[in-house]
Amino acid sequence: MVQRLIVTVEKCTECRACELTCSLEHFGVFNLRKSGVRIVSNWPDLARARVCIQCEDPECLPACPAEALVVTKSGSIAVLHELCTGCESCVDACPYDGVWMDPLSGLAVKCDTCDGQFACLAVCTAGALSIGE
Amino acid sequence: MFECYGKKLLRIDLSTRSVSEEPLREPFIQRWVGGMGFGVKLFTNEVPATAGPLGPDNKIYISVGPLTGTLAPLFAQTCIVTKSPLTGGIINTYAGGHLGGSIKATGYDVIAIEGQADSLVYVLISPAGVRIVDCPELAGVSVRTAEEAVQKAAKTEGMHTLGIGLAGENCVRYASVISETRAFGRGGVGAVFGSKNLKVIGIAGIGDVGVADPEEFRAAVSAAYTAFAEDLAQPWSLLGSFGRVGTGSGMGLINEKHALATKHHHMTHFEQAEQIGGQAIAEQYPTRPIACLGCQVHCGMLHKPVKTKWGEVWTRGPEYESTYSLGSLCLNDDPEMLLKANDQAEEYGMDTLSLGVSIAFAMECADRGILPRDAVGDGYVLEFGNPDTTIRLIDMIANRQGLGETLADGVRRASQRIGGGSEEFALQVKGMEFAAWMPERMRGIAVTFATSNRGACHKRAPIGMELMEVIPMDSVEGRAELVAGIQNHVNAIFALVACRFAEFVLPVQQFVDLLNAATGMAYTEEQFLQLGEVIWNLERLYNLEAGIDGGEDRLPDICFEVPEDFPPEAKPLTREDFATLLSDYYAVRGWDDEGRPTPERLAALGLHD
Repeated sequence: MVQRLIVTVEKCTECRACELTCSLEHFGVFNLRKSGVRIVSNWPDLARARVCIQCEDPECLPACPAEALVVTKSGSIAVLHELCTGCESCVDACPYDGVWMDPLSGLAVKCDTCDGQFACLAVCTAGALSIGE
Repeated sequence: MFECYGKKLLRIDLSTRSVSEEPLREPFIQRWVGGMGFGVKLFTNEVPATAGPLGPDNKIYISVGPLTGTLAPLFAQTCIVTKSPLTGGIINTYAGGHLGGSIKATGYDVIAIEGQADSLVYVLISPAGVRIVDCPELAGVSVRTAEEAVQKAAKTEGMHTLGIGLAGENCVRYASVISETRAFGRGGVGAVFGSKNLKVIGIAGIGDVGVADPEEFRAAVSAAYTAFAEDLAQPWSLLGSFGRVGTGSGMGLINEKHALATKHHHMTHFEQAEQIGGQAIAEQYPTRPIACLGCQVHCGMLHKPVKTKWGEVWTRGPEYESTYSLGSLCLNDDPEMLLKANDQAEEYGMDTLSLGVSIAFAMECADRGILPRDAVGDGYVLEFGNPDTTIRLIDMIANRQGLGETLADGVRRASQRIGGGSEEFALQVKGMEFAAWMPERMRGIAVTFATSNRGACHKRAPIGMELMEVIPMDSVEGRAELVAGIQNHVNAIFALVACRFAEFVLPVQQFVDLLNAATGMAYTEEQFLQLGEVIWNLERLYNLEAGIDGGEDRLPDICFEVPEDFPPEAKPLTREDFATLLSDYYAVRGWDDEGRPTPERLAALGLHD
């Protein structure tokens, strides 16, 4: 089974440090829209988390006409920025709302688990993030 | 260098409904850094001291700083600088949440708003451009309703808003601007929005925020994370308790120390304080902690809707300061009344501090026979400890009805109108109502309230040190120097823009490390603190020009009376002590006997003409 990021929204304080870290790791900048995990507030109810569930038979992978999606060593699916054409086929193909577009760069964005390193975990002091399968 | 800035100012002229962009040049950025620095410099350059706060010549500067929108913890705040309709002087005010990150992502470091729209409008700032939209349908609606309407109309994902309610539209002089339950609370900036017919600004940025030296920045952020983690892990951590039950966590301690302003400062201790403290409210009502962008402290307490005798209320908070002003100061011990009052203040958009003090002032006037007990009307009795009267008065103030019309202008103007000697006990400095602390008990508070450029503000005071008795509360020794240092320090971190709580944990050098790594500048600790002093003096010069002179560095007479339950071992504030504090303060600041910065000091600060 491929490891995936689990968001326990009951513990989430909606600080979005995970999002800031994710965009820094993958794009070298801070930009919430460039994060592979998104926390969507829904006050006064709990937030909703958007993140790839690293499904066993990913529909995004074959949908990409540019071969910009690749399987990493840890088994997660990653976006190769240099190949992504921004066609949104992966977004249309994913039934789980696990991939989306960054409006600035026009690139697809999703959680690739940092190839199993999960950079976001270190900054989630609320303990809302964990690794699951 | 300067990768963490957009290096642009957006100027919106509501009179002509025109929009323009201006570059922020590197020497300007280098000198003024961001946030409060940008706001104060631009404001004092562009707004004449003669401008009426509610007239077309006043301008609003909404600014973010070099660390906004980054992973640096506790830098989520946005700064607003304008002319205050309460004090007539310059005001800087802050709100956290997620607005700052959204502004930063637009690429604008400053949004300047000027002129006056001829009818009610909202403004949208998004990748599609800037739009000024007429919104007569939003007249009089609550902040929340207006924010939701603008979000819906904008159809832009990830938009954050700031706006006003009825109080701002009615130019209540302490109307606040609310951003998704976070408040630009003090000084009446909501009334300035109202005077410009500006209901809401919706902001959706999609841009990147970079830093000059990513590796150094990661190291500086990591050090800051560690510092906060170590503090928060301690059982005594004040911020840790804020994260568990909110800023009201300290009420028990403050009460125990006889430092809780109660019954309009006649008392220092409130028998029922525990009922309205953060602990009780967090335990009694389903509550979860909510954080500002990138913050580990998560002091915002979000409640599920609560059914009260005044109807269902939904709120975040109340913050400590509100439980003082609308709670102990008015002798209100009902937590549901506080939830309701907090909700009203948020929906109407009013500063809970000035609001509570204004209501307590009316109660005090009734106790002294200066106002009749039936001054509220409709059978409401004007008396301390009456929650229904408090709730009623909040409605009347926002609507400027009856007694509310007088109280909507703040206690200084209200006391001038009501007379009967009420000016002597009106809890205000320079027109701004007292924050939650007692000059009668704490000398640091006495000098801070008297000298703050904002009026009776607690933001730059040694509260923790005095409360924890690291230094004696009632000693004047070295107190003025300590306060001046804190004023400089806090001003400097407000240029970044940091949350005030960051200063509880991070040493100055860590702020400087974050600043330098993000910007590529080479600030030293000394230069950074001097930035704070420069801003402080610039504000002071502006206020002097606006007619707020050293004569207004004073406390009302009531502060020199001894509260009924004053602890026998403590020393009351005397006029001699206060005179010493003030002359020490002027000396430390390099100001003359009348509180005017000397030419020598201004030259040293680079502020000479």
